[in-house]
Amino acid sequence: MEVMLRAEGLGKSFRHTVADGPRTFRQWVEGGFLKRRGRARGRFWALRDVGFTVERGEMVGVIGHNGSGKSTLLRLLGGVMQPDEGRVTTAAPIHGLLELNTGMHPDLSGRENILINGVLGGLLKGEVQARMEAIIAFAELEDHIDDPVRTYSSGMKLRLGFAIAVHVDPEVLLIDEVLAVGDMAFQQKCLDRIAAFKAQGCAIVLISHDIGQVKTFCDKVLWMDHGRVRAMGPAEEVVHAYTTAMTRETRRRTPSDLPDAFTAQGVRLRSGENRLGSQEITLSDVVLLDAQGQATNRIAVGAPLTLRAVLNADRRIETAQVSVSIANADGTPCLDVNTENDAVALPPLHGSLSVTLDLARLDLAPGLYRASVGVWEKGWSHAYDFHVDAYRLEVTDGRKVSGVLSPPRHWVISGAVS
Amino acid sequence: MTALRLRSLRHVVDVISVLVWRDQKSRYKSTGMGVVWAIASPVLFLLTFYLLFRVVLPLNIPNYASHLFIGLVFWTWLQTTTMEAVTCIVQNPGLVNQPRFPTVALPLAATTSNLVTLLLTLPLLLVILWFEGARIGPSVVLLPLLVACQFVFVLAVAYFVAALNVVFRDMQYIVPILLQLGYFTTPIFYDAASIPDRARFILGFNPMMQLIEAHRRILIHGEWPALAPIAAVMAGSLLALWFAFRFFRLASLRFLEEI
Repeated sequence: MEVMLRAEGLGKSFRHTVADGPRTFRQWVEGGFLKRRGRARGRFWALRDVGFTVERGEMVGVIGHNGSGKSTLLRLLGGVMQPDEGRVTTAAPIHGLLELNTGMHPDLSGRENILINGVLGGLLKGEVQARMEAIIAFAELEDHIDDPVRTYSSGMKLRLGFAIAVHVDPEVLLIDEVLAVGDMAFQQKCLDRIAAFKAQGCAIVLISHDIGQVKTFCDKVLWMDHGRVRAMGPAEEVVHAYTTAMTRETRRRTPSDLPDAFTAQGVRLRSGENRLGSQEITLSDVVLLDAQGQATNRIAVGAPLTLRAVLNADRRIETAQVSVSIANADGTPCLDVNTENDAVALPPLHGSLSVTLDLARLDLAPGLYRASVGVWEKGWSHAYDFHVDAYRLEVTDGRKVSGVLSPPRHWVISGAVS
Repeated sequence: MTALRLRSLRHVVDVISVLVWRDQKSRYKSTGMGVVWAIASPVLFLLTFYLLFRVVLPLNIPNYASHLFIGLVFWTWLQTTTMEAVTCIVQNPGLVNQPRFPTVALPLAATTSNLVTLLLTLPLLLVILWFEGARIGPSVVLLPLLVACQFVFVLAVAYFVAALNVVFRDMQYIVPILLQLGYFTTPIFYDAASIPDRARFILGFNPMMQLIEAHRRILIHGEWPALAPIAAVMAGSLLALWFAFRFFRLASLRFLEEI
């Protein structure tokens, strides 16, 4: 196969941001016009010894915690930052699907912004004009395209930005997280578009927090850890190793001397067994509520269910992720949702914060279920507090149902069709 | 490979044109008075200075409105471009982060956009000149050359401050002070003839002084300007541009580390 993008021995070092050379003209003058200090001093390697190739039609995922060097890698690949070691070679111009709405002007119309953003994204004016209608159609903004962009909702802006970005016919494409936003239908459309690029032979590098997405789309995965390649190989294997290590990291951080606690249902939470996490944020008062707002552990099929929890942080933590999952008696996951995938941002935490998840209906088949609730570091590197299978839920129905679902249904029996 | 290079050159031109277009369009779009705003600022300064130095402290400069307006509009081109250029990199991290985005286009777009603003004030300048009975002669053919000369100079300054602001983050506070000093040492509201000879020798190194003087000669008096200083300004500006551009290219390798 033809190699479209090759990284060899990439390394990049940065200065420490504080106390290293004058940062302003005033400091420079006050310091007696001393030369700005050279590279050797106070630098750290954000990335080192990173090498891989991307072939035509191949999609490589890059995973790792925040600060593992993913963004630096992306910038080096994009050529907007110069490596201190190694080099990047490409067989075709690189396109980026990075920041979508950069360069847009709120007072100008959607159509005018398409021209601006298309050109800033790498197209010639004529090429943007030729694709104008296709872009508008893709963004589903036919009715609003001549209105100023400041009147758009954030979802509309996002659709516009994405539509422009995917009309560039890339041969080498870098994608950074952008797929994590937008409504489901549009997200699917974007994923389809990217799959189409891949099918046409585009070489793609995808940086994502969404492990599931990486597993589904990528042929190969690169796991970055502290600026180095921790593992590289088939998506399934590397993702598995990554999630295992994540659990291990959580276990390592779990204090062993935490006193046991009890849930409202009377289940004992024991650290290291069904309670994991560093306890920098703790979960308390987790309750399941029925339609009347009464604490319960039993609901009827199709009834609404509310889960409420209180997060407590002793020191300020910028943000966090909350996950809720429900598994049946066999341990099969039936529901697994979190704040990141649902694009919900938690405010900075200090003190306590109440989090409520309303499920409008839960069409699970009757049976016994267990819910897990967790609060996680914002990049999912480890759990702050994770209550595993600690909340019991019984779903009841007069009828017997096997399988996982029991949606509302009725049968229609009519006479024989002639 | 040359096809690719030709395309990226065309792309830089297109990038500059959309940036200028966006700047101009957005500046006048959301206001009812539109393009009137382009001339509002020089007109207000014109009125203020006219009142000050014609009535309060008379300087006795003939054709004072023309004299003043020429100084104001050409100086404004330098001033607004420099102010925009100094922050053009740090205010556009999204663009600088984009693979293959030509950052060299940002200072160029600022220079061009402010030239467009200047051109929009030209009709008003012509009205003032006509009103004060200026005699425009054949020397007016030199005008495009003077504008080209100033373009090179302004662009050199733009590249220099844009790169410098990435190295020293307080340039955006220092540059306005320097511009203020330049404003008073350039004969904008006074006349170069009233500068004592010894000071004139030093201030003569200010390219803006030479350019504005030449504009006045052509537009007000219809005379040919002294060509030697203009040639010197052109040569000096080209040299400055070469250095500033190289400095900018060198600094651009580190833009993302610093912003």
